[in-house]
Amino acid sequence: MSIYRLALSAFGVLMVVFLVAPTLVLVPVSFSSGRALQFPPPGFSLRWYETIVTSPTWSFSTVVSFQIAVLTAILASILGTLAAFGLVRGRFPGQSVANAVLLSPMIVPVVIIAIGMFAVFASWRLAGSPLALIIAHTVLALPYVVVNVGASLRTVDRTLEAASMNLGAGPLTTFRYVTLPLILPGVLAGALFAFIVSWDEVVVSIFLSSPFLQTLPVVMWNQISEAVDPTVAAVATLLTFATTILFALATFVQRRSER
Amino acid sequence: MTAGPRPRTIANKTDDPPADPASLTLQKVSKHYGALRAVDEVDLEVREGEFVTFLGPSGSGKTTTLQIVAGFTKPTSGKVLIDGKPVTAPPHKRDIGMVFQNYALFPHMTAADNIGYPLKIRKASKKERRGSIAEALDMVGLAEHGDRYPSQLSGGQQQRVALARALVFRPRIVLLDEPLGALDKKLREHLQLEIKRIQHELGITMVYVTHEQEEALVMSDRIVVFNEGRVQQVGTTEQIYERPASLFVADFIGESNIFQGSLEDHGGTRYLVSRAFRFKIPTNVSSPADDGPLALVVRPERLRILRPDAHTQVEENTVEAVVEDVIYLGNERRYTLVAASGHNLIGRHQVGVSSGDSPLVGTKVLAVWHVEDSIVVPIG
Repeated sequence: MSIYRLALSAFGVLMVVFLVAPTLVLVPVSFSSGRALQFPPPGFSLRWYETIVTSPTWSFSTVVSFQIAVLTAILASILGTLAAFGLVRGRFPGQSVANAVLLSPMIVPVVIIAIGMFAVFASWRLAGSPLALIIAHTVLALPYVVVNVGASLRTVDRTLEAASMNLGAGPLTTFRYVTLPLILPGVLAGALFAFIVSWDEVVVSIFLSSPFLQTLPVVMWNQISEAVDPTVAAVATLLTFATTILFALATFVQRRSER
Repeated sequence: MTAGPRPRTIANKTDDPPADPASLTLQKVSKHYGALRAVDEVDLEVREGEFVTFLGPSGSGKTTTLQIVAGFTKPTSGKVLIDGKPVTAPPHKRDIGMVFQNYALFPHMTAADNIGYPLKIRKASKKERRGSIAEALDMVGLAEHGDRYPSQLSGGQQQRVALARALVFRPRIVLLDEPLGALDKKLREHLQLEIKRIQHELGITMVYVTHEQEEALVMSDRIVVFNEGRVQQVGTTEQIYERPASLFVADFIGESNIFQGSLEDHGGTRYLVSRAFRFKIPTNVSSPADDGPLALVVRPERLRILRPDAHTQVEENTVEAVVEDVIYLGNERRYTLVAASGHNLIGRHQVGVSSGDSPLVGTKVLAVWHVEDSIVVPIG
């Protein structure tokens, strides 16, 4: 191996360390026996994981986060799939504008979306309700579904749909037996991404949460600004773990659909 | 989903009378895209159980016409009739089978599920479906391959599955859109005969689209020649080859030697004349209505190639030429000649049948054909 390649590899490894290390530091800290967030930890224990399970605040918000993320994933994948159909198959004036608007939550700074959402939901007296969180997360997650389903849809050979019609299937039956199975990997990947978006989301959630309804990241945020103890690290480890698994799953599903 | 008629499947072929093939009629069917006339006033009659081929170069309107029959394209004007009744239903209610150019097999279903799809849509029972699928697979010689996915099948096998799928629900008409275009020559020839056999066995009406003239000649009861959206000629293979109706048909089907000129009458004998030649033409050729230019067409196998001093008959036309090339093709020799008039000529002679020596490249020869072998067609 040449020196050039060696240097390049070293640089690559350094970059990965730089990106991942801050996250990985939390893993040993979460198993700490000490009371403070310190690294390296003084000893090993599972007490902070125990706290997550036993503390009502943590366990309740875990359930809330999960429910909101699941409902967001369902809602975003249905709406996003319909939107992708319109954008890929349809031909209407303002199509590129519609496309840009649907994808804008990926580009517009989240805090601006959060302020806007807060203003609207507050005036509707919905701020602090689960509905507000689900709607807000769905808006943020929609672009991921639209992009994934849109990509799948573009690869679907339209003559397959023509063949299905020719064999006697109406448009809905054709969608059910031909189009949907073919774009299913895209829909699943989109749904997983939507789940991750909601599961990790903190900014909008802070604005829209109430003392009675807090998602996991919001509780973490509150905890760390009050009392710092390794429970946060334990929660973060679990969050990271769950997200990594889901992300790997989404990537796997996408790969399979590209075969 | 349709609440259509009771599913008719191949499985109950034995109890039922044989499939009742339908006739297909097109009345002044046109499809315009802006100024482009993709299909221009096509009139056509396909009889029950007939095998008709739409033949023409790409962009001639043959595929668009097929799409109109299948219901995927709405005609700008004109009518499609099946068994004399106008058809306006959407594609899924037409009961017309179709084999697509790229097979269009569902990649997420096995061969058996692909074939069973139209039966499932028609709510046939599982048992009925299994029987029909097995029979259809058997018919196309793929009995052992039902559980394979399309990606695990060769091109030829995929084509057979597509054919079985288009036939299994016993449609009244089957349309085939260049179904063999992607296959190699040997396989194509084999499948041509197989499709023909199946069509014959089921007695089904088939409309077949191709741009391969040889394919059309081998398979068809009748050929419809398309060009620029219009039907140029409808006829049996023999009619199309021996009595082409226009220069386009003569040129497109088979190889041709073409001379363009105008008609002249000298004491009852008629000639096609240009500055470079004067050929006698058959007496039964009718004068063109508009007195326009004509073309004389001679098929290469009708052209005899003789020594320059050979004795010729009165009722023969002759052209002096030089042999430019001789290609030995195993069963025949193919000559390219350059006539004194500047025309390029082609001659084809079966090896072992033609008398005398084969003329050598560069020698002078006499190209000769019988007046009755002259085909005279209008130009344009």
